[in-house]
Amino acid sequence: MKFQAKFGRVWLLCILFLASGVGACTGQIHPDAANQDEGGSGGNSENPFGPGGSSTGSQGGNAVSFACGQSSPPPAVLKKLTTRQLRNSVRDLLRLAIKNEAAANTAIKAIAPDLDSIPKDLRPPTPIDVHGSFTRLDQATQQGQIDVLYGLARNLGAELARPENRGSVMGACATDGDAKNDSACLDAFITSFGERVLRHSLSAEEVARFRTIHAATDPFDPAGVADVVGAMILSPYFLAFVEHGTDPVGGDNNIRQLSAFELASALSLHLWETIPDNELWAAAKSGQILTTAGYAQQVDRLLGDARAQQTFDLFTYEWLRLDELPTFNGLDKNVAFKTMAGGDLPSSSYAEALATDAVDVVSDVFRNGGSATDLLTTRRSFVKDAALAKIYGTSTWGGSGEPVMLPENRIGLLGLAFHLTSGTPKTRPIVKGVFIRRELLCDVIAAPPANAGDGADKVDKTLSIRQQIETLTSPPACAGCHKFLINGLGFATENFDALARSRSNEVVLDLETGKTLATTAIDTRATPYVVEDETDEVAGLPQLAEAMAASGKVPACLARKALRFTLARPEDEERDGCALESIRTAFASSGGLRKGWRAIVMNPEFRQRVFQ
Amino acid sequence: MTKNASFSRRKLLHGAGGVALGLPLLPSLLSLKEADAAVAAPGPKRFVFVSHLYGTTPRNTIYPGASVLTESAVLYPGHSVSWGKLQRSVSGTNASVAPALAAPSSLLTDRLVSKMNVMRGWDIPFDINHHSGGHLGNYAANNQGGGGSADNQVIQSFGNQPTIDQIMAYSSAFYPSAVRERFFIDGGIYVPPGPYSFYYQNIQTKSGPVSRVAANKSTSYWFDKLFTGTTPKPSTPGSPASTRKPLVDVVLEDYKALRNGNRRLSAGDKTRLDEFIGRLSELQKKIQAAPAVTSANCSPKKNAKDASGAFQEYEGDPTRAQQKYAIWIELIAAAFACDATRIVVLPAGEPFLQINGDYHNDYTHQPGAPGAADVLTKTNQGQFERCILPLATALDVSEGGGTNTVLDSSLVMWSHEHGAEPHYAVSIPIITFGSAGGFFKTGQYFDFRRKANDALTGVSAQEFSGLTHQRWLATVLQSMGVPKNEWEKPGRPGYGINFVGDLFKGRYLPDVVNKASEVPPMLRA
Repeated sequence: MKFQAKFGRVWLLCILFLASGVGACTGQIHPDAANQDEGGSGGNSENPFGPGGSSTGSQGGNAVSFACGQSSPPPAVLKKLTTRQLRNSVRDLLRLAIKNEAAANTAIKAIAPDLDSIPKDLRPPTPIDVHGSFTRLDQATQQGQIDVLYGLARNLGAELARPENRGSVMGACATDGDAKNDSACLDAFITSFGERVLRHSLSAEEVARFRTIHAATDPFDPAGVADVVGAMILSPYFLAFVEHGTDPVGGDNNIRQLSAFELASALSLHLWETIPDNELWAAAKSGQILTTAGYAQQVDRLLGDARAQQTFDLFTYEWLRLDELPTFNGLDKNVAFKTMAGGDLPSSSYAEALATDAVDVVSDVFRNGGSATDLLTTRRSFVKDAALAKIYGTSTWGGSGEPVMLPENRIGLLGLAFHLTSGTPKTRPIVKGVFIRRELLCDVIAAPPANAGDGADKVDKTLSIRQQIETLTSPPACAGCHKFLINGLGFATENFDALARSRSNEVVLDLETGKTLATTAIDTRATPYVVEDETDEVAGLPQLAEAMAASGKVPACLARKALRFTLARPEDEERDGCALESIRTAFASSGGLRKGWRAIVMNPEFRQRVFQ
Repeated sequence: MTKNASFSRRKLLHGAGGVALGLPLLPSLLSLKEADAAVAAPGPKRFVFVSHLYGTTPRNTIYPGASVLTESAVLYPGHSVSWGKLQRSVSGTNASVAPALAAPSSLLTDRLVSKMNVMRGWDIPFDINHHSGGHLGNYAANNQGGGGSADNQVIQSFGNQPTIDQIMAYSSAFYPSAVRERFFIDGGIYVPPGPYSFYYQNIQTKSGPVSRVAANKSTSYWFDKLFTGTTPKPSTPGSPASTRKPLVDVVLEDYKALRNGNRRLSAGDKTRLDEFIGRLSELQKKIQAAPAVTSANCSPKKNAKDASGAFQEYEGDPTRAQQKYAIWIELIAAAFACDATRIVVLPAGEPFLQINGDYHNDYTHQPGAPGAADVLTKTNQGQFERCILPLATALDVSEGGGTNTVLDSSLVMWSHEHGAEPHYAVSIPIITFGSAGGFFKTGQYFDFRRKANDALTGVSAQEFSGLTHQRWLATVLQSMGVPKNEWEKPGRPGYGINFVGDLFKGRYLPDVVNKASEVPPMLRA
C-alpha cells in the first residue's frame, strides 16, 4: 500500500505487452480512460517512477535499501515440506534406519514409484510474482499429495518391517533370540527412529501411543511395525514444520525462540532440503546448536556441503525462471526458425543446456566469493554443451580447471543464452526487458490493457524488431511502461540474435516463408531507466550491466528473492525490513552471494517464530 | 407364457426376491415400474471441460451462418435471443457446421451434430485480459495479479473463487455416494497463472482460503489413481487386518489431537491443520467407501504410452498432439465407463496445425495480419477435429443397455480464453456435446447477443453484448444437478462474482445482470 500511495496512478497506468515479441497498445481503450485519475487502464507517457518517488522502501520494487524498524515479522503459519524435501527426507530416513547400504538402496528403489508420484509443487501466483513465485510458496494442501503420501507411508513401513531388515532397523535385540528384551527393543526403535522422523525427542506418552498403534502381541509383527512407521511418516511433525517455540524473545510472549530440534530441522530443511544429519541432530540434542558459536559452526558446516550448493542452485533455477525456457520441440518444422538458425538448429535437449549454463555461472560466483553485482559482469563460463559453445564462439569447458572466458561483449547473466534465446525466429526485447525489470531489479509492472496488441498487424514487417516495437509502443498508453520500464532494457542486447549469437546486423524474415524481407542495422543504444532519475543512455550490454551494478538494486532484489524462497512466503518489506537489510548488505559486499546466503540463516528472524 | 416372456431378467430377479438373495440395493429390489424406469434411466451426469488457449477466434468462422437462426424469443424486453437447428453440410468426404467446425464426414456425423450445441454471446463483462481462471469461474486468476486495471482491482477484491468443477466435485447432489476420484485434471499447457481449478483449502467446511487445485499431466498417474487406488503394494504380512485400527484413522486422530491440544500454535497453524484434517477425512472416505471399479463395460487397460510429453504450445506437431489426446480420451472413456470419476478438466494448448512463427504473438495478437485469420481458424478446426470430436465419439457409447449413451448424460464443454479480439473475453465461443441427462436441448446454434444494442465499440468492435459468462456457469451447475444454495452468494446472482466492469457499463439490461442465475429457457430440452 505504501508503494501504491507513492506511485499509485502511474503504476496502475503502466502497460505491458507481456509475453510479446512484438506488441503494442493503442491509445485510449475507453473514451473516459484518458481522464481517469486513479486506476484507469489507459495510460500516459509519464515516468512511471513518478514524481517524488523514492529509491528506498517501495513495496514490490525500486528499493536499494530497507528500513529496519521496530515491528516484528508477521505471524508464522504452519508450512508443509516441499515435495523435494519430502523425497530427500524419506530417502535419508531409510538410510538412517537400514544401515546396510545395499539393503537401503533396495528399499529406496522399492518406494521410488511412490516418491515419484508425490505431486510436484507449482509456482503459486502472488501479487508481486504474478506469473508464479518460488515453488516453496506452494503451500496449498492437495488431496493428491495426501493420497500419495498415504500409499508411500504404508509401503515404506512395509519395507522397514521386512524380516531381512529387522536386525538392521531394530538392532541386535531384534535378532538375539531373547524374547525377554523384545518389548524394550520395539520401544527403543520407536524412540530412536521416531525422533528422527518426527524431528523431536519423543515423550513417554508418544512412545506409548505408537505402541498402541502397533497393536500386535509380537513386537516384531511386520504389520504392526509397518503401521508404526506409516503413522510416523504421515504425522504432521514429519510432513510439516510444526514449531511450538520456547522462551519469549524480548519479553514478548508472541515471539518465541525455536527449540533446538526445531532450529536444527529448519536449518537442514532449508540449506540441504532434507532432515538433519547425525551431527546436526547431536548438536540439537546436546543444546549446542542454541549457543552462538555452536549455531555458527553448524551453519558453516552445512554451507560447506555440496547439498547446500544444490539448494542454492535450485534457488537460481527458479529465480531465473529456467523452468520456463522454450522446449525447442518441433522448431525443425518451422520454416522461419530453420532459416534463422541455419546450422545451429537446437536439439530438443537444448533448454537443459541453457539452464545448466546459467546455473553454473551463478554457482561459480557463489562458490568463489562474488557479489550480487558480479553476476552482471562475470565472463567466466562452464559451458559444456558443444552447440552452446559454438553460439558463444568458445570451446567447451573440460570439466575441471579454469573456466572458459566469454567474449568481451558477452558479460554477466544478461549475455547468457538463457536470457537471449527466444525460441522463435525473432528476438524478444520486451520479454528480455520484463525479465530484467522483474527478476533482477524487482520493479513491479502492471499487466497490459486489453487492447494491447491492437495495430500490431499494421506495422511494417520489414523494420527491425526494435523499430517495430518502438512504433507499436509509442502511443502514450503504452509508452508509460514500455519507454521507462521495459524497452531500453531489452534493446541493449539486440546485438545478439534469437539464438544468442552475436550479430552485426539484423536479418528480418517473413515468418511464413522464411525469406529475407530486409537487412537492418543493429542499434543497442538505450536509456534503460534502471533507477527513476537515471536518464543516461547506454551503448549496449556492458554499459547496461554497469548501470545496473551501480544502482544497488540488484542486491536488494536478490535479498527479496532469497528471503521469499527461505521463508516460503512473500516478504513484508516493513516487518521483514531488518532481515532484508542485513541480507542485502551481505549480498552487496565482497564475497556477497555466499555471505548473503549465510546471513539469511544467521538472522534472528530465522531462529524465531511469531505466534499470534 | 406370453406374459412371462415379456419379463425381463431384472423382473424375474425381482420376483425371485432380491432380498432373499442378500443383495444390497440393486435394481432387483425396485418395483416393476421402477425397474423399467431404471432400464431407461440415463447414467450419472458427467462434466468434461476442454479449453482452447488464448482464443481469438476470427469472427464468424466458428459460428454457423445467420440463416440457421430460424427462431427467436424475447428473453427480456429489449433483449431478444435467436437460435435454430444446426445444419450439417457435406462436401465430398468432409462435413461442417461452420468453417472451423469441420471434420471428415465419418467423424462429424448427423448423430453427433444432433448432440451438439454452438453458442455465441457469452461475455465476461469486465477487463480480465489473459486469464486461466475465467473458464470455470475464478476470474481473479488472470495475468494482472494484484494490480492492473480498475476492473481487476474489483475482481481481486472478491478474492479467488472456487471453480464450478470443484463445486460439483464436493457436492453431495452431484456425487450422492463415494467415488474413486472426484475429478482429474490434466496438467498440460496453461496460460499464466496456471491450471484452471480452484477450491477451498478446507474441503470439509468449504471455507477458508481458495487455492489452485493441483493438476497432473501424466495419464499414467491418473490411471493409477482412478483404477489402482490407494492400496499399498505389496501388502504387509503380519497380524490380521481385522485386529488393526485403520492407519488413516490413527493418523486422523493424531492431527486432531495436535490441533485441539494445549501445545502452542498460531491461529494460522490451526487453520492449516484443519486443512490437513479435511484431506485426511477425504482419504478416509475413499478407503472406507470407494466402490470397486467393476461393471459390464468397465475393463480399464493402462495405455503403455503416457501422454505427458514435453509439449510446447503450438510447437508444430499435430500428429504428436493427436496421439496425446487419444490417450487422454481413452482414459476419460474408461473412467466414465467404470464410474471412477465424473469430472475432467483438459486444457488443450498443443499444436493442431503446423505453424511458422509464434502462435501467441504473431497470430492471436494480430488477427488482422495477412494469413493470421486462416491460421487461427485452422487451429480451432484442428482442435475440433482431433480432440473434441474424438472425445464426443468415444463417449457416445451405450450405457445401461438402452439407447442412452454416456455422452447423453454428460456435458462436454469446449470454450476459449477470449472471443474474436485478443484479450477481450467478449462472446466467447462455447461448443458443447451432450444434453446433461436431458437438461439441454441439443443440435442447436444459439445466439444470445442483444443485436438491437449498440456494438461494443471500444471493447470488441462489431460484437454485441450478450449474456454474462457468470450465467453460463450457473447454467452448467444447474444442468449438473447442483442446487443454487450450494453456490449462489446472497445478493450476487450468477456464478462467482456479479460484476460489470467500467468499459461494459450500460451494455447489459438490468435483468441480464440481476437474473444471472436463471437458465435461459431456450436452452432447456
